[in-house]
Amino acid sequence: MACISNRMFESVASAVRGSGVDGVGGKLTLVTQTSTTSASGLIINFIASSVTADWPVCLLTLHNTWGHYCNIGNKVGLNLRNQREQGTVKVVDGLQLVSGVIDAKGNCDDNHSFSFICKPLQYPLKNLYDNLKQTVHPWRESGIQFQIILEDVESLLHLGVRRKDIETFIHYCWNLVGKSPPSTVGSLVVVATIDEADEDANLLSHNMTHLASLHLSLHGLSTGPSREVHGLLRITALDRNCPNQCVPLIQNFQYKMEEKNMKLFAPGTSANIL
Amino acid sequence: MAGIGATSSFQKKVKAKVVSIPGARPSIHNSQLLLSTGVPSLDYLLGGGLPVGSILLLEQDRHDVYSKLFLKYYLAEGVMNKHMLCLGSLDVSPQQIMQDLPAPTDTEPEEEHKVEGDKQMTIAWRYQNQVTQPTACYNRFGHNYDLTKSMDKEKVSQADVSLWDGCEATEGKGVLNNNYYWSLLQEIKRKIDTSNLSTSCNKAKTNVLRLGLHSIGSPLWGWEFGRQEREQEWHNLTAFMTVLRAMIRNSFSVCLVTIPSHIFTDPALLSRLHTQADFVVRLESFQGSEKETNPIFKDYHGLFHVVKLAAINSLVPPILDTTDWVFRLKRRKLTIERLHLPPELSETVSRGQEESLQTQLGHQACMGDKLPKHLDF
Repeated sequence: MACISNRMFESVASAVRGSGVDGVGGKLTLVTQTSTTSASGLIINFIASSVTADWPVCLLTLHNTWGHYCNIGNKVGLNLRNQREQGTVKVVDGLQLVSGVIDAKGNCDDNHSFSFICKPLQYPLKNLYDNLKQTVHPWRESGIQFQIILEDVESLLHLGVRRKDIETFIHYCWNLVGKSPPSTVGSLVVVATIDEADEDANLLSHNMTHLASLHLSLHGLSTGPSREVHGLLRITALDRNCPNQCVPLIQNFQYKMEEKNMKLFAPGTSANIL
Repeated sequence: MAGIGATSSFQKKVKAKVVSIPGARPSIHNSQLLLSTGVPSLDYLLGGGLPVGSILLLEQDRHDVYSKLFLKYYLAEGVMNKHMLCLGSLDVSPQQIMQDLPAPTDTEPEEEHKVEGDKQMTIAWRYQNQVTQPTACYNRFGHNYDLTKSMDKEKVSQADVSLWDGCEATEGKGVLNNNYYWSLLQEIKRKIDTSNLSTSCNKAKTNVLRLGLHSIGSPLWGWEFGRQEREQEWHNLTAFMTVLRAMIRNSFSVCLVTIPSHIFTDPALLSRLHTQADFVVRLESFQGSEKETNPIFKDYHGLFHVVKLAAINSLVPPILDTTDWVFRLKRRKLTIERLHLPPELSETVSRGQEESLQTQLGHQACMGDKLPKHLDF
């Protein structure tokens, strides 16, 4: 629990604390966003909390660049470039890898993490998994706790990967952090984009919801963006290892993103109304 | 938390790198370099301009009249700033689009009588302090254009322009088995590599690439008409957008993509395209619709829907003070404005609207003007 607390997004940390479930110890945390809301703030929050607890982080970016997170980190007082140099944060920059998969002549490297874009493969995400595994290998060897963050796994759906393969990929990544208690060495955070109209994306996120102990869901307002309220945050917590908890604990908040903070408040108590 | 971001206050003084790219200015919010779209009012909606490395997705109006104008403005702005241009289109010949760019003017076309800023309002006093929205550029960011004149051909020919019309498309591979999408990506990649615009290249950047892709996903792009959507085989298009996003993000380039969203029957496709774009706007033209004759919209030519504004390099996206926007095509220029209802001057409430509604209903019911207004049966 202590690892979640950090001084940056104290509101989010206390909301998660209030749920009674932490996302550590081999648990899977799911963060869902929509096409009009962004989970960048929550991702930075997870990175910061891990780094605070001296846990290294491996970030797989598929929607935003590494530079995007560095710039946000700078604003909230976290120098991610330094952290990367020190080896506490390792990055598999998916966007950079995707942009390099095609060369000007149209050739493609077989061992490239995204080589499935150029040629059909039986296990399209195997190379990407190998890349991740290699990245976290030193941490696994030394037995220290670490966190893997998979940013926007729906991007893989967009690249034509089947849902089944993505789910397998996530299970493999979960195994990397050790999902069963004796071999637990870290935790996994999966960021997904949901959309009511997209059946495949919905099924993927529903399946992940079933596995997740903690689900942070960001939604835009149905009436459109507002100056004081940017959207809704729903935190669903269910500790499957706890014998006394039968139903998930659900907390609803409205949120407003600020330059250096994510402000949470109870629905109907925004500055517009009060 | 100790140690995180803790840097010494004593730092070696290093001369800051000044990136001088013509037509670009840094954003005051996130220090991102911004480029003009050629339409000042659209720049305003996007938070000052189009950030380098971003994609603007424009959902076309039904007949692709106004969306093509936005594309031409965007390209004209590139020509004026001597940016590198790459235009891809299958529906319309890219040569034809480039030949008909609007001409730049020094003066603001159709300048209207401006109300003096310090003039006190006596009736609508609550609007006294409302921020005015720029419809023309006064601060040397972007240019003014005149739609009635075409840009000088010599000026266009001087620009570094790559036109892609799909003639030399090679066979696609893997997920991108569509020849057109594959070839276009290759062309873009080649352009970025040869111009050293990639962020991984350490050379100082002195120019940017402006990509304009017209009517992506129209039936001409599909390798078999209609098959893409019926069998959910539109992965070509979503994969194309994802790879395009990756290329744009990792290079000094911006992209304007127009799509004929009204022909996409599967809403999942549209939502995936929205996810991959940074800014999404939709044009809803009044042409041929009931709104064309509605007195509320008599001054405007269509609704301008702002669907998505992404936060790039920051947590807060550009926030607009209203959600109702319209566009208007004047004789010489295209502008986006706030939707204002016309003043109600009549004594009876909504008289004008009621009349027009009755006329419309009368036309539909009787199919002619000469029939009696009140039918006996």
